[in-house]
Amino acid sequence: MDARAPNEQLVVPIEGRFDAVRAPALDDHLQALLRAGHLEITLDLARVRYLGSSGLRMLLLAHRRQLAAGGHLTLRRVPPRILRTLQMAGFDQILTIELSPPTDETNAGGPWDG
Amino acid sequence: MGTLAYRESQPGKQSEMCVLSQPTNLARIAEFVGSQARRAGLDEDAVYDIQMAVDEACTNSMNHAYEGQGDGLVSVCCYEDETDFVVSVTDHGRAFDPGTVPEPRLNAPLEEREIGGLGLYLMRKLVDRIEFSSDKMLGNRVVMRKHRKVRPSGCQSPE
Repeated sequence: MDARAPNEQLVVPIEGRFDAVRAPALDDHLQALLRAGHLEITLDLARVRYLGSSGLRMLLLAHRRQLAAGGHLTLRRVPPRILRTLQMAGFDQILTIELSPPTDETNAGGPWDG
Repeated sequence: MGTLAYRESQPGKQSEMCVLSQPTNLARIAEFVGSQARRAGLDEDAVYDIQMAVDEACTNSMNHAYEGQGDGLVSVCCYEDETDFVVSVTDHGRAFDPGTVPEPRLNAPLEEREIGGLGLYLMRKLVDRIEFSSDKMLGNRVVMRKHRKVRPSGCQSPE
């Protein structure tokens, strides 16, 4: 297992539909990342086309898990419609949503498209 | 197994898609609802809203009415009336009473937020009118309406 600095951000890009089909697999993926020592995880949602309640539930559970381990889950590059969904569910009060514009940094993790 | 039946009749009439209760069919349903909604003249924001509401309704049918079993039928029916684009989602699973689902507490802090109730809550917010019914013969049905801008025939709405 690699030694990771606890505050190193791992960026996980997600693509496509974030629905009942794909939420469980992403949940497994994030659990595996946490077990591998990644406390600080950022989900890049720039290419997410749809986020439903299954995805919202998964985000809530993942956020709780990261916090319980002493880490954090951040969302970034959230498309306007996805942000609206998060706001409707009150998740903008719970999750950390980074509103800064996208940069050219290289992602530390590969793209996840389930 | 994908679409079991797809029936589309003349513009203004009813179109129906019937699928097995497998979540892999949700994308197919979304595409169907999207194309019908656009044809009815809904703008892209409204299309997204009704697609999401239908997605939530179908997910509920699959997860709750059919309890995760993939061999039930979910029927999605689209039509337009004078004012609205209308979608009904029907299943023949376990009887469902939306009154038994508590509303999510949106302002509760992270530790206290419950996992359930979000789908139903979003459905109510996303459409202009929603009605639930549950009947041994007709199954569970949710009818959702989204107002459409009424335009003179042959013209696009200026908005």
